[in-house]
Amino acid sequence: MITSLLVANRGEIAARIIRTCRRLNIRAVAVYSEADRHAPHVALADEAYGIGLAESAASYLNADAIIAVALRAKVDAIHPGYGFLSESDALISLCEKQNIIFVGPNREAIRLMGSKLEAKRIAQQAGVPVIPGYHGEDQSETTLALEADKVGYPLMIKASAGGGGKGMRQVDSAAEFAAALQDAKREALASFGDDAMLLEKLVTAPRHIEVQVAADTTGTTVHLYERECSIQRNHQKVIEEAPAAFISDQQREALYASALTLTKAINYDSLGTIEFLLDHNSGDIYFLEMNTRLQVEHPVTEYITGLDLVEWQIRIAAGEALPLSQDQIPCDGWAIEARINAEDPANNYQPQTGLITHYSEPGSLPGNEPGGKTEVRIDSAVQAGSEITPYYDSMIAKVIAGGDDRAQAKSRLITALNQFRITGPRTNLAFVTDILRRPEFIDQALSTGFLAQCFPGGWTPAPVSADAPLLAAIAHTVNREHPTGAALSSPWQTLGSFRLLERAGITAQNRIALEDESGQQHLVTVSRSGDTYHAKAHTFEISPETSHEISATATGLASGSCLIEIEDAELGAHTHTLSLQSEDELLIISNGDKIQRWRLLDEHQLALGSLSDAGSGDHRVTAALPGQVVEVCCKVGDSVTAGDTVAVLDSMKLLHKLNAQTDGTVQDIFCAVGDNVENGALLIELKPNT
Amino acid sequence: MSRIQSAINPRSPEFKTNSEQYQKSTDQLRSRLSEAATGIREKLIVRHRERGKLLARERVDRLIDAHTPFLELSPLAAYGQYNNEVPSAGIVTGIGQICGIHCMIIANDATVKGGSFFHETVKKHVRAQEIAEQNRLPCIYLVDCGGAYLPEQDRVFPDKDHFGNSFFRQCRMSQQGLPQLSAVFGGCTAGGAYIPALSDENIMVKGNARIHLGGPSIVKVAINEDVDGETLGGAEMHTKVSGVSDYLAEDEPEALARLREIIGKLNFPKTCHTDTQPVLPPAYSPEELNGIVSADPKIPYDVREIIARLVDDSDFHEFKPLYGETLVCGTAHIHGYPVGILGNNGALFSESALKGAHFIELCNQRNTPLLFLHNITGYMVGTDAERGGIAKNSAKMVYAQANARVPKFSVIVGGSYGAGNYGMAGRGFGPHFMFTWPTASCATMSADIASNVMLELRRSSIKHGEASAEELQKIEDDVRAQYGEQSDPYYATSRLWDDGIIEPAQTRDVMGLCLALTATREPEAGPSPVYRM
Repeated sequence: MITSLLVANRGEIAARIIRTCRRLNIRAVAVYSEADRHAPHVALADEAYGIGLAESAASYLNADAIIAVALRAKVDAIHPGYGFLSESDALISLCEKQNIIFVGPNREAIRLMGSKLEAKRIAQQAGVPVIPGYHGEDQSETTLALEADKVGYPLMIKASAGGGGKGMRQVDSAAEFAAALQDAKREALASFGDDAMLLEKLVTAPRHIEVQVAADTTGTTVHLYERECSIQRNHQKVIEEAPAAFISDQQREALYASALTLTKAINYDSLGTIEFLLDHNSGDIYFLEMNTRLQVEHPVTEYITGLDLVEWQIRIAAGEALPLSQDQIPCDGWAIEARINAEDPANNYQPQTGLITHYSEPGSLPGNEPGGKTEVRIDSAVQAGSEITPYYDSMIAKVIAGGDDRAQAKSRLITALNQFRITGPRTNLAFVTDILRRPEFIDQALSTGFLAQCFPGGWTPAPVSADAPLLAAIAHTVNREHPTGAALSSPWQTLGSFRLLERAGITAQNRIALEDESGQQHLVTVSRSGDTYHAKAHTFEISPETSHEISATATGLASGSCLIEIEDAELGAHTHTLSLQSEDELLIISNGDKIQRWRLLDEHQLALGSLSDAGSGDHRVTAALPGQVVEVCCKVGDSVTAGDTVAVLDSMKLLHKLNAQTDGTVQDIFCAVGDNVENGALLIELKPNT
Repeated sequence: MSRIQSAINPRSPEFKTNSEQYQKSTDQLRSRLSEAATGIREKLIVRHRERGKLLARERVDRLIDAHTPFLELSPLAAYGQYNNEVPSAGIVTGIGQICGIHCMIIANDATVKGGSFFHETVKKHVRAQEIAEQNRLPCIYLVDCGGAYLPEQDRVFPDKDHFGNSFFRQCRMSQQGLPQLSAVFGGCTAGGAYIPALSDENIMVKGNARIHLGGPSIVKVAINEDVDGETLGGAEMHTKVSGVSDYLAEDEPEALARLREIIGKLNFPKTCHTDTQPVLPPAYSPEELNGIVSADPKIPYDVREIIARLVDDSDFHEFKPLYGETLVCGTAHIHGYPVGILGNNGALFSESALKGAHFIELCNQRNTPLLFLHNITGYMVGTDAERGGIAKNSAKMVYAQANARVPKFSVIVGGSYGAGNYGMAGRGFGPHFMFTWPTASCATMSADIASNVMLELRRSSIKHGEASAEELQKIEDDVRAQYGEQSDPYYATSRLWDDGIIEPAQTRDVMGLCLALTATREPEAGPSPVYRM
């Protein structure tokens, strides 16, 4: 019997676990790092304890600190969530020692599946097919290179202890092998403290299909159907769904059978996920790995089964038998999940940090409880005012939409994503919406190459129309000219751009400089008379050329938003545009769905040249994102060629190479290994060759 | 709370007639303002732009914080004078916020006679500086001027309030901690040169800006030196060699951005010294004011109808409502700022004058600014009035008003004649701001009374003997014509007798801006007794 439970995690998963505790009348105890003191998961819990500094190593990865809290709060059990200590021996062994229930499988199962080499060996022994590869103990570079030739190219190098795409590299030819191996080892060492590698044959039409399994301590084992997670970027899942489409019943049965075989082979006793690669061309399945924990994408399974998987985990951990037998577990409808990350999908998914200035989830969410048949479910743990820090994963929310079939689930998901409003750090909202709108998403089987195929050269936001910057500028003007807030009482703040001569037609010409999502800058002049706004697009020159102009009526709504209507002469109809503004960011939503994001620039700063100077100076190597310096690959006096890597940065657990932009010699180094650096920090200065 | 109940019916025929009539006045005002802003000089504006220069009001728009007000002053200065060739007297002045700091901006308009100084230019420049000093505003000079307009030098240069006074004020304000900053956009010769030279910091725009005491032609005549303007006083020379200028800007936008950088780091405190309350719109629309003022100036209207359309929620707490009823006094808020209002409802009697003096003292004691709504023929005359001591009683009101330490604002909504103008804080009594409605008139007395007085004087003249009927007719015609012309609000505003003509519907916003501005100045401390009259 578990009556109190500590959630050794943060973010949406901590919040989600706490919700189930609530429902089961279990006292929920949260832990938090310095950076998460005000996080929603803390507020949601019955009790919360600080466990250390912001860095994960000092807090969420600090098993001793977590156990100390568990003892102090006298909890029956610890739920590790996913990531962090969920698959580590450290926490579970301490739990054993202190007689605290670990909500997860037995220690041995975690150990067996924790090493990819070991996992594959066991799978093979049990008769579960695995991808040809090298899983040997001999980790010498020569052996690995030799084995790579045996497996054949293309192949994958993977960290033995890895997951989430870290320490993983694709190698297309023998020539690239040595460099890729080194990169992967370094990343693996940084992420897992273990740089053992394995090699794997690369499947050409690969689909990522995984099976959710559950087993209790008596050895009863069931599956909860499959999920497809083929759409991945940088080996991280973006869109997940259950069940999988374009798959035969035989293939399904083969997957379930293999999954159950392996589960039984290791005496598994919790919820787990067995990941397979399905070669769509041959129909072959290969075991990839087993995740001995709750998955990020578990809500899609919850939708089709109508079950609460966290509840199952807790019941099994408490020693109860599986609540349902295999034939009692339903599979109804379809669910698709999109992961919303603070990242810049147009710029290699670079993680974004900073304050969330506006945050509103799609409206009217009946229920929104885990495990139910909610049309649209949001699992998140951020709010307006939350700070996205570089310390943790960049995922801020998951949107899960369900329906009777795949088409309905997809359409509900698109609608929900369009209603999601986030300003502050950039997000992948537009990107995931674009994915769902692709015909390839509907017409054919997915593949792990989906993104490369749909967006060769990378995803870019849709180009802006000629009206778009004008609408954005009008929206900004309306929001500024109708300020809200009790603090504003001076007419110098509330009267907008009042001019004594405005009734004579001499109105204020407010100049608004904007940057669209592709980084292009626009200049617009907006003048107002009454509720009518007139906007003109200009060039940046002093005697500007006007290229395009529109007139619109606009109404300010509450809290920095407004509604703009323009008469479309050709269509004879009104176009409605809604805007949302916070600080220097603007979201423009045209006709209810198309969302654009604008950044407001300070034209005065442009005139002073400070904005253009900041990024330039190609002899300066700056941190492209916040993170920790893990390697400085040069010393003062070294001569470098453009393209040479001069430093490596770890940001949000991914390594980023910083390359010299010019040929020259290293003049000064402003950072050292281990330094935490801010976005834009000057790291290395070069003296360009003349 | 005591909300004014309006007796006006906006559907009545009188309202409609009045509105239509007033619309003509506002249309006329708008067309004159529009002409002053961009009319008359189209070719010069094109040439100005070709030089990479912005118009004076464009510079202001870029300089001040985007989406915030600019309270322009006297846009119709010099209107109707000099063949109407000096719109706005060639200078744009007004108050705007830069980096949240209220600043007086004084911008020469080089499209008007090269931005040179006429009599009204100087007067407008000095008036702007006077407002800046009174309200403790930094002064920003956007300089683009060629000095005094030489054919008018006797009305520009020598006197106490002429060009020299502007430099005197610049020096004194700087010394008082009011930053004096300038950006130079064009040639500044002689007098013009001292505006940047006497500024605390200045910026010059490469290529266009020049500063020299004597231009190339004067240098040639004086010392027979051949030199071009750029070498003599160009921006690069002055920032790199002479040090006359502190910053070099590539173009006008950079100069304006630089000014903003300087102002943003002035360490100039922004404080409000009054208790404001949440803003409510008037219960009656200010736009209705056009239908209240009668088309016939002889038909009176209740000044409360105006007040109801100026103040927050039309909430007006009237002081002594049953006494001295021809002067309506009371307290209210405009845009959340407290204000004491005095408005005329007929000629001022002894009782009205005493009530006015008492009310002014109350506001003074409570640091509540005063707003005077002028619609006054004067103090009462006649035996009864004189026996009642109207001279000393009106003097009490004038005296109280003259010595009030709170900010005073005057708006002439109708006539403002004789000693009534004095009691109601006319121009001579230094109101912080003074605005006029387009139908107002201001003179010693109305044309009717003036012609009668003049005819009486002629009839009783011993020196000139008996007057013929034609002579009397001519006197009457002349006096009527003179008073008609000179009491016209455009005649007044052209000569800087006010700070501008405003539409009735703008009065609330303009007064709100003025009240908020003066509230940034710390009230004068010290005792302020209230003597009951």
